[in-house]
Amino acid sequence: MKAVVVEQNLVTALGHGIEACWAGLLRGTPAFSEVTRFNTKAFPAHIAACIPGLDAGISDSLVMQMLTPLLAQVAGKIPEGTLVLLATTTGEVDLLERELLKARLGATNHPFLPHKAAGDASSCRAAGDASSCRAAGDASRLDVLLGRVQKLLGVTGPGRIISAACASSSAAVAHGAALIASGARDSVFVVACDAVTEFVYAGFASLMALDPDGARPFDKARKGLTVGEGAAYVWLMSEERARREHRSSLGTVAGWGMSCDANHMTGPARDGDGLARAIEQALKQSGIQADAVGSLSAHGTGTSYNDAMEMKAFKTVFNDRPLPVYSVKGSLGHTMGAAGLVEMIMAFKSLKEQWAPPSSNLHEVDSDAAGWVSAKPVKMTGMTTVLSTNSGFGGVNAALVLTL
Amino acid sequence: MSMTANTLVAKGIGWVNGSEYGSVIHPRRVAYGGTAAVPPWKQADLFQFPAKNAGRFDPATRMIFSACALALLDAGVTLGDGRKINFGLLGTNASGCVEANRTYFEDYLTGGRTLARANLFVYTLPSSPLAEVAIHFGLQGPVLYIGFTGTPADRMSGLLETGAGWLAEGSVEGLLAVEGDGHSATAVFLGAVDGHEGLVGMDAILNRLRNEF
Repeated sequence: MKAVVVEQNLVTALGHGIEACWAGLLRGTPAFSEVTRFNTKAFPAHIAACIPGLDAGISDSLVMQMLTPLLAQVAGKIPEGTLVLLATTTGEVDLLERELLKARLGATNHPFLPHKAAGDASSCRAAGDASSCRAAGDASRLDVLLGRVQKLLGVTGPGRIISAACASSSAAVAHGAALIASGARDSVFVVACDAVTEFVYAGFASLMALDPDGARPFDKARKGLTVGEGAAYVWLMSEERARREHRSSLGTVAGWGMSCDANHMTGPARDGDGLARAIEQALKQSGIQADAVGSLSAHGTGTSYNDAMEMKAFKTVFNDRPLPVYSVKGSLGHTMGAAGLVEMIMAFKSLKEQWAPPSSNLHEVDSDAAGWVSAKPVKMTGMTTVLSTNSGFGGVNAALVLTL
Repeated sequence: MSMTANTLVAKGIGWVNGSEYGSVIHPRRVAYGGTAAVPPWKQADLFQFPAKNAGRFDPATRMIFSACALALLDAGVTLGDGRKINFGLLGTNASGCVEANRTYFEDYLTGGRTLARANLFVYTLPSSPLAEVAIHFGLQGPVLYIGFTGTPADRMSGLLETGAGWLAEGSVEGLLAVEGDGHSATAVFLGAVDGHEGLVGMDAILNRLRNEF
């Protein structure tokens, strides 16, 4: 049984909604700006792709500020029995930051400390999960966020947290599609989110993974990623149930594959073998031949090793047949746990519009990506399939074969 | 319950807590700490081959890594020699990596909020301990953390169901399912029925785990 998408939406640094994101991607303009929600003086970079209007100084966490208006669009419409999957890397970790900063600084008027801290047990209880909020700091637990998401959606059924580093949301889609394919579920709601926080920014800085000039995926002079934030959802349903309920299909998850490089905690296998295996598994599972794939939505972080690894994997699978490859991270930054879902929604848009968006912030394409990656949008004709890939810490890889 | 769940076999089960470790299919129980044996994560023979990064593992990774190593030993599976294999890895627990998050960020604040420690940052993902296991033992199948709502039994049941699905669709040849955090861990090495000894069927596996722990 195929899994089709019956509802989807997102918010990114390019704005609210699919149209705003798509238009921004086609323009090719990076949505990067100076970070103001924490001090970046000690770091090698000072920019990020932040969503305008989010406020680190109010009680709600950053991801809840994204999710509350986003999920309001579908609140109350999700039927009982729908499995909710939450994909994120750090969720509401800004609540933990606040708690630890407050304990250390002992004041509430520090310039980089929010005025009202929400990371306490009372806010946890308000989320409806008192049992899991006994200790201070538990407000940042992912299961608490899952409870908040379910409350926003108005569902009381089962839920799961899916974490596979920066492949979390594509792994969640794969998990949901597999449950639908096996007949175990016929309705799965996938939510993904991550925010630009000091926690994450300092971590990537420690790995020397930030490009001070902004991420330039597949560029010859690329130096790293730009941290971004976003939230997205897709409602997956079995094709049969969608038909029965007269719901339009916005896209189909035709195949999925996951693998691990089993190589290094923070760097990919240089030969791209792990990603190639995930792609081949996804294609095999979909029954779609490699030559039917029209374009590739790459993970394309802008780090030297990731982008080179991806090109090796693509060339392995597609036998050096150049295809339009693009990365949205030169515009949106790396939205981490949300990246796969944001990119999947944009891939469906790409199929609908028959355009492969440009790789933003690309000035001089790296030699290994020449002929594949473009700084300009590419008009497609008769494109039926997009392959979307993500990779992350620990060498995890995920690939999705997407059709309309 | 599907046929797949009924034909699922636990070929090895390893476990560790704050004072003991052991296995289930070939029962053993060893005390460690104090004047007893050294902790399992300091015993290279448990890992079959030296784990080069064990010294920097965070507490959750130590426990999860040790339980997985014990499960593989219990199953008689030798890995970790650099060979890679299409085994998957599924993990779960109650609280994700909140302790690792706290350790990393407190260290960053203690250091003056100027430079974080990469060695602590890498463990701020619930999937990080699983990745260390995959790297050491050469597991090239899917690596996935799934947090389940419900009781510990619900979590292990959810993992086994997911693992059964992976085995049924043929995406892996075997897999480790592990529940663990910085205090304890239990790992089950799963395969399909092939004549080797083990606990057959999801109910039997869950009952045994319930009785053992």
